[in-house]
Amino acid sequence: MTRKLRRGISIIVAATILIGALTAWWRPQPDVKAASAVPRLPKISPDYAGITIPPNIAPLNFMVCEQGRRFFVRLACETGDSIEVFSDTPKILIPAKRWRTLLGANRGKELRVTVYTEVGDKWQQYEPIVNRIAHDEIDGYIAYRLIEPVHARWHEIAVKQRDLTSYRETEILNGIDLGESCVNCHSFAANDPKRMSIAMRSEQYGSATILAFDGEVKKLQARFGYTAWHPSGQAAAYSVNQVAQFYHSAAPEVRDVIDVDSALAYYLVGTEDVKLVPAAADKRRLETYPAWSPDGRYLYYCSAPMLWDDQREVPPARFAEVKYDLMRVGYDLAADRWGEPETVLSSQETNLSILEPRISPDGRFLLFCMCRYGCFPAYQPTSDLYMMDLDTRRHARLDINSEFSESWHSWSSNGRWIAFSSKRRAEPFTRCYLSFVDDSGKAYKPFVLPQYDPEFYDSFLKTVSVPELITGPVPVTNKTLAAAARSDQVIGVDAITGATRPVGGLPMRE
Amino acid sequence: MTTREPYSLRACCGSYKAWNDTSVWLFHAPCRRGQFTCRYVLSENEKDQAPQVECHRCTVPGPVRRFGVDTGLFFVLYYLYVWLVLDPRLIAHAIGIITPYYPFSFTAGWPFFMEHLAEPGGATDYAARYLTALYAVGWLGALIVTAAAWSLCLGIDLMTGLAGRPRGMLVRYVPAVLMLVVYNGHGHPVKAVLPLLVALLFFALYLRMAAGTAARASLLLTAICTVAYYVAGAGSLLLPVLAVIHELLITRRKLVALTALLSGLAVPWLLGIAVFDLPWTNAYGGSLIRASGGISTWTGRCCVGLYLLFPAVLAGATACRVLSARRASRDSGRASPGTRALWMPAISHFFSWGESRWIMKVAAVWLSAGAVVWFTSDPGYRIVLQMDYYCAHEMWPEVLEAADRMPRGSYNARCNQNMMLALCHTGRVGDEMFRYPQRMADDSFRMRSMAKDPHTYLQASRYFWGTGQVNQAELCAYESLLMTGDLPWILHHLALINIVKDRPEAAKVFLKALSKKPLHGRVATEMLRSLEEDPRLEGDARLRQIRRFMPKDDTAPLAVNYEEDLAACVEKNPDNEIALNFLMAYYLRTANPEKVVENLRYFDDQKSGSLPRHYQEAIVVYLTGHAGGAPSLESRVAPETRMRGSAFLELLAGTSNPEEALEKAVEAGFGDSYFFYHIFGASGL
Repeated sequence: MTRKLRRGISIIVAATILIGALTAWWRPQPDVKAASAVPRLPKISPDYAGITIPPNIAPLNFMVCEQGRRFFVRLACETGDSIEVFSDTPKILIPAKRWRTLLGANRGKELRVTVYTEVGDKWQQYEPIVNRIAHDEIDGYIAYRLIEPVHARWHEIAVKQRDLTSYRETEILNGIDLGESCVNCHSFAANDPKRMSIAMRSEQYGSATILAFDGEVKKLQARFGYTAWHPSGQAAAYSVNQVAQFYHSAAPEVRDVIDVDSALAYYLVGTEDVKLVPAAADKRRLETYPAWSPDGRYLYYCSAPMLWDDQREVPPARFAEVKYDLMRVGYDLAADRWGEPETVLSSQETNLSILEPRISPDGRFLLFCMCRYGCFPAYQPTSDLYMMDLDTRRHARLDINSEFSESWHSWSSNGRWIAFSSKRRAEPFTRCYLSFVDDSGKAYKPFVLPQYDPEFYDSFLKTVSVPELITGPVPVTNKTLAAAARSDQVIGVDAITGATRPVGGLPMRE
Repeated sequence: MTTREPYSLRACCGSYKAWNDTSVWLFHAPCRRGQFTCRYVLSENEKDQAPQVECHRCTVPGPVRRFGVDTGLFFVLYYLYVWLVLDPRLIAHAIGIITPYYPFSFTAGWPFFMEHLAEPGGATDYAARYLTALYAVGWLGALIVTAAAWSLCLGIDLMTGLAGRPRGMLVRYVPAVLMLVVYNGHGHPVKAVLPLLVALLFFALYLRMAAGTAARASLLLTAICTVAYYVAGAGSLLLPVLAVIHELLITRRKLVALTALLSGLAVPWLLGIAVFDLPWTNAYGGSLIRASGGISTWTGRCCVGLYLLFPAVLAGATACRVLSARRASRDSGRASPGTRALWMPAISHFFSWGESRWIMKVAAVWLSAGAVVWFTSDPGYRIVLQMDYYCAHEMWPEVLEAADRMPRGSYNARCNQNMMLALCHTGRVGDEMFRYPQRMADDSFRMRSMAKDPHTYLQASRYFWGTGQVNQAELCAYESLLMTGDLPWILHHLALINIVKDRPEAAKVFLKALSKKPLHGRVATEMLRSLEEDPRLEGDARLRQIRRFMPKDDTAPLAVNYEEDLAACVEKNPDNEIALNFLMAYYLRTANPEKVVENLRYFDDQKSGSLPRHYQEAIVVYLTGHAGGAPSLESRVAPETRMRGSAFLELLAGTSNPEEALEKAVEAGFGDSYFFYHIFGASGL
């Protein structure tokens, strides 16, 4: 091959690559001025229509679920340049930088999303989707548990954190690092990532709680169940549950969980003592789900009468009659003194089991679940979210519920956002949803935690549960937490522990 | 076979350079393509005679055998063996049963790919996962295995060629045979072999570019080691090892050798530990051994052997070459060589591909390889896997066909469960159940008694699914998923379960996940399309039937009582044939002819002899214990069955002890009958 020929071939190849790259990069803007109107909203997935969004949320990328050869989307607000996305596929990926600028400049205003599709040679314009940009930001991070749809055994349970302003997900603690251990019940004091606890259950490293407070990591011999940190961060109330899992032969949700016995205990950080909450350790009652009032003066919790004598019988014959009341008890941290328990809302009144109380940071609202029976709303399709005004003690079912289970809710630090788990998208897969709550306690249409790939949830085989909004990333690395979890250095406390015991059906774990 | 075309080194305009002592010379010459520099270690004697050597970096015709018919034939036979005997489909199926599935799970799409690019060795890991998925197509899997083996063979040629030995030495077949040994042991070494191939590839690249000053070569080597480490992870550390040997023993560039050594130590530390935050065990090779199942496993040991083979061949061949050159030089000054001098060349000659006796050598190599393969193969377990494979794909007649080939002694509970599923699904329980080994103590589909692997859960799930106990099927399928990972057949099964439970959205999640598995995209996409049109898939008769058989009244806790559950299924839906088959099989197996007779009400046909054989035999046994039994029952037994029953009783009466009775009954052909099972508690004899 002569040099001349070689040079000629090189030029042709280079030109082809250049033209190809230019063709791929440069596309003429579609002429949508003459688009014919379609008098309805376009179908998009995830459903980001008619929602209120935080001004600091990552771009809500979506799929256009309408027929079309090409797609064009315009996102416009009152001020600032609109964002235009032109795509050969129904996948609409919004440029992050421009999105942030647009939302930042239009707090409290509308965001109009206009979708165009090219069908044949003609463009069609759907009615614009109108979303509202809230004034108030959502906390920058959310911590949640990722787990497969566990029935009897598990493989990987991880507590992860996600930057809500981007799509970056990092690990807080992974059970795989502890020999396929169970890590769960992560809890933060007043949305503060620097004050955190995670419970672990490991055949190899024991059952314990990992405390990460202001950069210091400790392993406590006591395993905290559902945990609530006192707003001061000086005490944590937690449940001790004797849990039994069993299965249904014909119900849509195969799994069910019952507390055969439970009580509340609390841990004092200063003295490293663990004690029972006197009012919530009744042997004839089941107490669980502690939640502090923001002023730290009251501990709210759920309590139900124990309807059985024999705790070995699983499930007890009357398990479907167990309904929890909402209670509270006064507490003086300085004197470490408890008051008398009082009923906030009785299950006799609601005829439903009241669970998972969480109080807004301003102390005005109490968000909780109610379901037909039992203590585990995640497995109860009847579980819905309710809001109680603590001033009037009136409660109402929120409009954001679905026919599937809603549970595991948490408040943002400014009390304007809630995160919760729901199975509405594809039961039994739990996904995390975010919803705006206004001054009057009204919750607005929720939207699923956004992902870079709008098709992410379509094939995601894990469940996202126990979402906890936090103000920033957990400063302790997963390696440090895992090392502490594996460590032999355990702070011994006189604790009461409980363990999950799968029963009935197919006892795989022998 | 060979091309005898003398290749004179003098014609190459090369130059000789004395190497340490005057009797050994290093010859540097550009090869005929003018691209490379060939270096040969030559004795003084060879130098004078203008020795005929092969340029090993290009295919310059030389006196030595090139890739020939023998090699071609070897790999054709190799391919056929892998395809037809080993069956890559079984290799793929064994993943999740014998080897963990998670390291081999593959998902199409950028996120999965990018995830792999974010760590050293991720690229080869990604490729290994993808190639593993292709094993599901037998011929393609065999092609992948053969290509890998052939590439390793070329790698050995590279080593021997570097050492100045001719290519085509016998040792070139060792990696291929080692691979077969691993596959015979149901291992899957692709995660170890791919990094090895990458290391060899980069080593060959280095050789091409390593000419020039030591400093340049050192820099180049460091760069190549870094890239190779990023691509192939710890497996690429073979590259610096080979480079050290090459630079120390062949080119004698100590600086480059030192650089190679330092690169081998420093690159994993810098790239693996400092940049990518790997544990040091993974950075330096632990992950590679773990990927092979650990050093204690047969696969792990073979993989370590594979890795050690290449440096050993390079060092050995070089040393051998230098020694023989020195000896030749010494011997040239002596009048009569000693005994040692006589046998050494003879052995050396035999083990190199000279022209003479090559057929014998080929035969010897192939026979050795065949013997190794024969002794390491496990045909019994292969049939166990075959039954599993066919069961997972609902190829019921094939399950029974495989069961027929099962050697005595290899039969286990796993096979029995597969076989029972096949018998019940094909409706052959009543006729053929006792053709196969049955034991009264066996307790089918009880989770407690089962080995913990995904397939046993899947077997249980299929059993529950077939009988309409959908919640239990779902439970077992999730267990299978959690234990193993997103195996395509589990995803498909879970999608069906969710469709039957009227949860099309959940079914879509499983089908979307399935569509990202290589070779399953089309099926998943078609099902997704069908679901869009009909979320209940009412057009599917099987799903419709299972939906009809599903229990309607919820009970908790869900408890497994094999007999009661089946009886309830049949009671509610007498046309639930699979449940009925399992129930009858249960009564036959527990030697309960009363219950068999009681449940004959579900068989409509009252015509004499129309009942399946074992049910007729059970009636005969029942009537023997219940003299004057119902005439209606007698009428359902064929005369020949009655005669066989009488003959069996006579045979028993004519023997003095149970052992003798058993022996005679087997001789008389009663080993596959219910008569025999009822008395001796075993069958299939």
